[in-house]
Amino acid sequence: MNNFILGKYQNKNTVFHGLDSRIKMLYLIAFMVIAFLPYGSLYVTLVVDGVILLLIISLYLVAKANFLCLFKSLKALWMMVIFLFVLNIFLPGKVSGDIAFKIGEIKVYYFTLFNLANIFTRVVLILAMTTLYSQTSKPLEMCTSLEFYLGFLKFVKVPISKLSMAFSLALRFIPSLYEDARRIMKAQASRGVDFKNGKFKDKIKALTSLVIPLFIYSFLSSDILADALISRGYDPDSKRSKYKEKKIGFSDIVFLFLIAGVLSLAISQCVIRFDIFEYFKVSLPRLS
Amino acid sequence: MSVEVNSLFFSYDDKFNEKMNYVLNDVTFSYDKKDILAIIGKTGSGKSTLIQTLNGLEIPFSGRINVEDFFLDYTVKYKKDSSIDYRRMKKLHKKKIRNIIDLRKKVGVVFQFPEYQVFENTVFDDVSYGVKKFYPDIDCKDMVKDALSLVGIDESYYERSPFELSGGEKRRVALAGIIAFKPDYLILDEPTVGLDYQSQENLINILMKLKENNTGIIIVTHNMDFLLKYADRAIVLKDGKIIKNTDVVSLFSDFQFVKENSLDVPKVFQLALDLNKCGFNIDLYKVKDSYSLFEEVNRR
Repeated sequence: MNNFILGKYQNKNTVFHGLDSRIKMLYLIAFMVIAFLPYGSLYVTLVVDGVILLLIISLYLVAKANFLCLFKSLKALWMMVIFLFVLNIFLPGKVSGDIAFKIGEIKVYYFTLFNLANIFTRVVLILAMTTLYSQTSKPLEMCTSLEFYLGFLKFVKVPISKLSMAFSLALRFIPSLYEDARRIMKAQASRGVDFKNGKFKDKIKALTSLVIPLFIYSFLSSDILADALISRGYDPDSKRSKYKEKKIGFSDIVFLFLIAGVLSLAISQCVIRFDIFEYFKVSLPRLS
Repeated sequence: MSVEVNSLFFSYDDKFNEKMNYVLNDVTFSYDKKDILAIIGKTGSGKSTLIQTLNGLEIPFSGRINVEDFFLDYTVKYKKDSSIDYRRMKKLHKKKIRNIIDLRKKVGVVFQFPEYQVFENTVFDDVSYGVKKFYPDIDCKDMVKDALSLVGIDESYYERSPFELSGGEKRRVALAGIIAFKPDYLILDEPTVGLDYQSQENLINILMKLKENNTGIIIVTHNMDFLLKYADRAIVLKDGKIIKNTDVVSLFSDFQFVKENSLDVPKVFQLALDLNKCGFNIDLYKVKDSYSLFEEVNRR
């Protein structure tokens, strides 16, 4: 449980930390769109992905964010890459073009390798951007921006403010739940429960000894919290106000223009499909 | 001595360095089973961490713990200025402790609000859970019945769901869950919190019966009246260090120490001290509560 990586918020005083969380969420959405747009040939797509990655790295440097969090998340990707590689080798489909190398009778095409590199790069981009977002935004700020962007659902009678309140409370209580789980695990361990060793059936039983008390304690705590909120005047049906209203500042507008600029360049490339390698007459392995 | 702890160091930091925040800082003490030992100290002084190291729930950075014939040696040879990954060291220490289950069989720990750890379908199943873990080859019915009888839960409760019970009954069931496997030592973390006077008295009776059955009792408490009445010795922790390890009367008689550490002297003991200043010559070791004080006054 100690290795559970949520991209924890890191309290630093940087321009990126100071941005409105709604602008940062826009960044996140924009980069996700940019990461998945088609840019022409695989080579061009990889070049564009590389440029986007450089942009994200520069944002990491501006935000003084922790690269270690990102590398830890990437560790889990290796299995996926190996799985995809093996799948593409043995089930390549209708692939043609130049052959990169052979493993016995099996041909591995340049298309397979570059396609895999493309998939991997896109996943890295998404992970990098989401990790940066979670490192620079407080969980409650994330909820506020989610509430802002989903506000249109009010018109179809979806109780966005109540859902957002529930979500932010749930986020706030994750550390408390973690502490309760640790406490219960220790209490059960003192009764001989072993969470790590033993047969599968014993491990399930051990988990039951953790999950049931945790659920009961959570329900009890939520009852108490609800009573506490009501006794302090909380009315779920009244319009919500905020103690600190965040206003859009100069740096927010600058970054907004930057997002717009990067997004328009990406869309332009998507439409025009400019091939830099063809322009400079660089010869590359044939992919199809 | 039944339990010996030598030079225990513990930190929640992952890396060893000079600025490491020690929760337990060179803790050394001995405990004799015939006494009831109380561990007191302010919040954050390391009391709960100390009791968790005694049954292997927490692995200290270094030190030695001896529980009768069970010996845990966490001594580490390292250069002072080298960087050590504490997390890796904990893993190495854990590998050394192959038979931690044997230690947990000897040292039972009852955490604060133990009623929150019940989870089985019936009271009987919940109490027998720990016994089956520690003694898988024996029929545990008698051990479970003895434990439930000791805590005052009669047979009519055996097949009931523990979640139907009141808070006090649940706590007794949780306590029975630990007593059932007959540990040699029972450590309780603030057992009287949230209990009314009668429930506290019931708990004390249970602990006294266990003591008569040669079970060592160690209690973490903030309740000074309880400490005066029942504990024989007290250890005072401050910032992870033991600043006092003495009998209860000597502890409360040390005015300077009590004042410096903001300890709450039980009123009946304060009254006995004041009476002694007026020449009553009361034997402070016999003052446990107001009744014993009046008896002493009468005797004089």
